[in-house]
Amino acid sequence: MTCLEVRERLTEHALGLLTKVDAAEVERHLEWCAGCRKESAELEEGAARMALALPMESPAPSLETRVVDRVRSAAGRIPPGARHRVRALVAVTLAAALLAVGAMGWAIAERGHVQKLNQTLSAKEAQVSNLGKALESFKGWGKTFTADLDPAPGVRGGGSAVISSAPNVDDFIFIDVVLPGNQRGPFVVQIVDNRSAMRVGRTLVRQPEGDWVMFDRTGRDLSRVVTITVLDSASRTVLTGTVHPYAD
Amino acid sequence: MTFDPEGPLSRESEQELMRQLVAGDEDAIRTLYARFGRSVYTLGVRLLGNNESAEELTQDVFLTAWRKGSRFDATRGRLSTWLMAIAHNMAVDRLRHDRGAARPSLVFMEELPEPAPHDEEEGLIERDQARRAMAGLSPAERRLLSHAYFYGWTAREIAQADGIPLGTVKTRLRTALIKLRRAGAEEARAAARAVEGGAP
Repeated sequence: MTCLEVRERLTEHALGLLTKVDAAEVERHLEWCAGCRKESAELEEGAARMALALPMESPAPSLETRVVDRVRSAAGRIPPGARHRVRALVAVTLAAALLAVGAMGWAIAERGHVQKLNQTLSAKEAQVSNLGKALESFKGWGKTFTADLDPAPGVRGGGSAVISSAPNVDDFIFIDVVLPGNQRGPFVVQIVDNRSAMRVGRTLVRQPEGDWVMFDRTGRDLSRVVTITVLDSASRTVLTGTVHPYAD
Repeated sequence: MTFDPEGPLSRESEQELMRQLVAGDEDAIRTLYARFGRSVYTLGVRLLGNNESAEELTQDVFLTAWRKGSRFDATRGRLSTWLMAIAHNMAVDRLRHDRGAARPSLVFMEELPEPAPHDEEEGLIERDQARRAMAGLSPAERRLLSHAYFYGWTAREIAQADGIPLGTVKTRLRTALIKLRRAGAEEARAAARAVEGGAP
């Protein structure tokens, strides 16, 4: 999307009127374009003033306690972003390793050794301090995208996704999701790019530690994916997120 | 660092507040709620139409602020802008989800009311500035923005309803947003000068 196309949409973006796909495309552009980002920030500031100017409603006094408890609970149970950031780094590093060994690495992954792959991922978590270097080496010849997967209304949980896209190698996607125990699968992943919707043909796999993961080579160009959605067996949205270029 | 629950925060203070929020600091959560909790809740009531949904939205917004807090960059915009954008987007997402529509059909907001010059509940300077900024818009501009922001009408729908060209609607929406932003920025500068000069 060019600056002209983005600026054409910035007003509606600030007012929350774009579709998710269009909004994600605009946000992807804003990640790297300082000029459009400045314009967007000004429009969003104007939009926020409309909300701030509303005559105030009074929530129940107990709402503050509920907000505090919920954030503190989340902060205590999962250090903010850390677990999924580690997972993302692990995935990218593993991707670098797989790409380095070429077809053999992919063949291992494709012969159904998903479990072994995940064990490798878990083991690599302990080596997180060394992962930055591998990540940087990978970034030199490919693109990495990530997404935070946020829960749909009424759903608890969260997750993250990593997409790698590099020349001459099939793109792949890694997703790691944490959901409450009463959320039962199967869960299907739907990824949407800026041209068409496509449903990834694999479901998330439950891990011994309770989270759900998917690691898949799609054979398609994933560099233009804008949203990732996890659906339950009734095709209801469980988690969804916007894809951004990876930023440490 | 401690934070005044009502006075203006510098960009550095906003960044520090978010750093502490991400760390799960209770004082930071309470400070953020004291500053923006009612605004988020109010937007929830206006868009979702009932107290229960607004309370749920408020909890989700602050949880999202914690989860995404490390992305907040005070050099790119104000904390209030960032938080209210999260709240508006989450409310719109909820409407889309609940109604199964590709685009929200927002209800409940009769018409954005004439901004009151002041009321005894006024607590936040920023809210006061926002109201005065709204007062600087013409009734037609307020109506236009209200249809878009609170009803979820697209520029195309407004153009069809009002019988004016799409490009004109987009231009007017943009102009109105920029006027709001500029009026608020001028208010903020005036407030800063008053503080620096010791004015009451």
